[in-house]
Amino acid sequence: MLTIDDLNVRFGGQPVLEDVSLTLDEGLIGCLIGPSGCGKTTLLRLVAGFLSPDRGRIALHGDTVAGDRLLVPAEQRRVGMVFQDIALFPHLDVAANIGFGLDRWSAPQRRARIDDLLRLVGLPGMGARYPHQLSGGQQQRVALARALAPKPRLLLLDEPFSALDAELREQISRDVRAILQEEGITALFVTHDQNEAFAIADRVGVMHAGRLAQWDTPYRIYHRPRTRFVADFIGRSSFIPGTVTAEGRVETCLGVFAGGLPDGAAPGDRVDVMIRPDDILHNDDSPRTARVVDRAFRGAHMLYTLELDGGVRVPCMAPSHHAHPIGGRIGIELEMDHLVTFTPVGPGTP
Amino acid sequence: MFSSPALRSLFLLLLALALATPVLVVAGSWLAGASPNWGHLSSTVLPSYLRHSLFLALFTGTGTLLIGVAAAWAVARFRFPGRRVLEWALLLPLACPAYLIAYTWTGMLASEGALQQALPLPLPDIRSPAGAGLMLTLVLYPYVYLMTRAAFVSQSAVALEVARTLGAGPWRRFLRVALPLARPAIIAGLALVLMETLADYGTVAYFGVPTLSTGIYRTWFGLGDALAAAQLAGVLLLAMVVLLTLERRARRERRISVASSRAAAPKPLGRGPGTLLAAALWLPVVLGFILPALQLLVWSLPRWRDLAEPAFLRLLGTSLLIALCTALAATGLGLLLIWARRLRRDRPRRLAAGLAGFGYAVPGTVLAVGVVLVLASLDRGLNDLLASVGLPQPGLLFSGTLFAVVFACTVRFLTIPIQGLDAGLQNLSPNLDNAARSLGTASLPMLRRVHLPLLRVPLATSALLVFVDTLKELPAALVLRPFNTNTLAVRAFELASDERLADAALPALTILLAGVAPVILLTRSIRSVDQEPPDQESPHADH
Repeated sequence: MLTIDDLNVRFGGQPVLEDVSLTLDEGLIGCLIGPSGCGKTTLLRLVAGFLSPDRGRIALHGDTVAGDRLLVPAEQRRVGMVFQDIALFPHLDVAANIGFGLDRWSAPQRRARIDDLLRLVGLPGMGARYPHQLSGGQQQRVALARALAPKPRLLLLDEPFSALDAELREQISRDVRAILQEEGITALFVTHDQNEAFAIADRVGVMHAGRLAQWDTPYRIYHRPRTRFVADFIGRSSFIPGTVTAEGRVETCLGVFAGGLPDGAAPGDRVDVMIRPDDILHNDDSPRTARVVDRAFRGAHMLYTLELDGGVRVPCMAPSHHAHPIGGRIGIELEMDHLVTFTPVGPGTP
Repeated sequence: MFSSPALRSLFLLLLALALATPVLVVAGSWLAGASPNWGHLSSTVLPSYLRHSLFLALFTGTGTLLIGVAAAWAVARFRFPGRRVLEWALLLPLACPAYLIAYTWTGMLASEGALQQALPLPLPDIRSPAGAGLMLTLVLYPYVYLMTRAAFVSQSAVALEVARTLGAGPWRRFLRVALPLARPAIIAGLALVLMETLADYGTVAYFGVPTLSTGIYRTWFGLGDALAAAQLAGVLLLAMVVLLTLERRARRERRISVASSRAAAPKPLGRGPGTLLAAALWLPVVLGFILPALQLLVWSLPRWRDLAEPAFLRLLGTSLLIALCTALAATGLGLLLIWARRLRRDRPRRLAAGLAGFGYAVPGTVLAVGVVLVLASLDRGLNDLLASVGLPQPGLLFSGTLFAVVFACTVRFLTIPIQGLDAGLQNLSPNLDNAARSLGTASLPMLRRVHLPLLRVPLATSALLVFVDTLKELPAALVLRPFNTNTLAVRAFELASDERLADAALPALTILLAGVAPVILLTRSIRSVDQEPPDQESPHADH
């Protein structure tokens, strides 16, 4: 449905997007995530048609909308967008806002569509209100209804929930997923909140310095990060040094493991093994111990920072009633059902 | 025709250049080499022009600074009887063009006038350089007051409280904290005052004070040397460029230094000092507005029947027509330039908006010289062209009609809609445009459905301000009006110059009343600034 090939953009000579490619199938919800300045909003604006690429191609349903010496203006792309600052038209009431893109529809059809959408976003009968009379969450729903009204081929959402407070955010993002699925809409949205991304998206793209580091399912993004950046950015992770054995396994201070190796790794090579907090289990009977250097109470869990004998520090999540003092030693064991390794980037790597 | 955006940008740049031609012609007049009369001018009248212009700039600059800053501080920091009224009453003299109060005061101080009769001492001659400076000070101090007051009001109380905890007394707090913080605003106001002072034609011409501004007029119509007049205008233009640069820099600085945290509460004064302060503050209002307005009213009352006279109605009609056309032209052009720049911020469009906004720095006399030079050659070219193909010649189609006045005033006042609409559009999130686009709306429908409804207030305000300023404009109308056509301002000036002070009162009073409208607008904008909610909840207030 949405195809992006080899997209490149520069602002004032500085590359902002480099060689970005992805595809998003009909009816799926994609999410771009990354630190600020990584180019995720730029990518969204390119798809919307507010910017033009220097190289590469964007296609919707196989129709090129940008690239091949062709640039379809934003107003002709049939791509809806929900903005970070909501941007409702302040001089129009809710119904007129939602009906803004329906000016070519007949009046009865337009009225019916507006009513449907008001019901869909849970604001029936609010058509005569003005934007300033609505709460932030209600405004966001109107903005969504407005973008959905002309039945766009693709819906873009630029950090749509960042202006809302945390509680509202979770509820609205769940509602939005339900609404998008009900309307059968293909959507691409941008966020810097990974919980939000995992809650809504069928596909997640992690962006870093203008490149799309990985475009995958949420599960694989978390458990099979392709680059060290993705591993670092998504979830908490740390790395322990290991050595590739003659059998193609990896030997670490926590044991010998089998699994994925970096391309071209040969026996004897040093590798870094990714450890997630949930990979290290606290077990008082284990012969292997580590020293507690820090701990943070997280309600149901206690997040320990442990120092292994080699001086490497790793996180460990334990039920919070297991209280161990800082400086004490606790027994641990490693439970990894799959191994993720990276080529070390240099000395002193954590 | 203008199919590509780049082509449209080029068209906009050409439009802005066309609007700037009068100024460019004046600035370029030096390229033709000094006029043969230049030697004569510089050995005779030029030193006197420069001396008087400089004197007026110093006198008016000092005077407006003293009145403006003191009034702003008093109103922003103290509570006393009548403060709320004074807050806006102090702006009233702005309604009065300097040449109007100049001739009103002349009448009031005349030996047969009521004031002189009541006083045993001979009054000083107002028709002197110092008198002109005084008149200009009385009507121009509101610029300094307006800007400085806004700066004082927006200064956070914290800065003053910190100074207090460090042991600074009230004078030290004013001189070392409040005044330096308000400096960019004061400089911006002062630059406007100096620009108006150097541009003034009516007052100095009426008082017979030779300045650069009147010198341009005399060189042209007395000496008959258009080139020398243009070159003299170029000298004045140079001074304006310096002032304009100063003003723009101050404006930028101001944007940075305005900190909007909790404002200091005004301090209540005792009954005695409070009444004294109020009386002192009423003085410039009385001298600069109330007395002249009353005098004009007294002169007008016996002649109120003239209101229905065809002569007066013609005068009024012409003035209103010019003002209306200028208001529409300037607002329309300003909207076109600013809106086009919002759609596409390329270099030609930015340059076009900047170029077209330069007009207010150009004095009416300078502009008139440029407009005549440009339009006269346009007319000559058109007539020659039509004659060569055997068609009847239209005569002075551009330079000999009201078009010349409207064109000059449009160039001069285009700044007003450009700044007003720019501020209005900047308040609208760019995502409103993006939202409209993503909903399938092209540029022109977007203007109609989104921008115009949201710009109603700045559009109306700009049009009104241009309308009133055009009504007040004297020198450009004086030079450019067609034969046998007069405006209110020109007629009032002519009658006053012929010592028919009382006859001049009716057109003068009409101008004065029109001038009150923008003051009301300014007053409302002051109020709305003050009423912005103090965000004490925000964490910034604690810093």
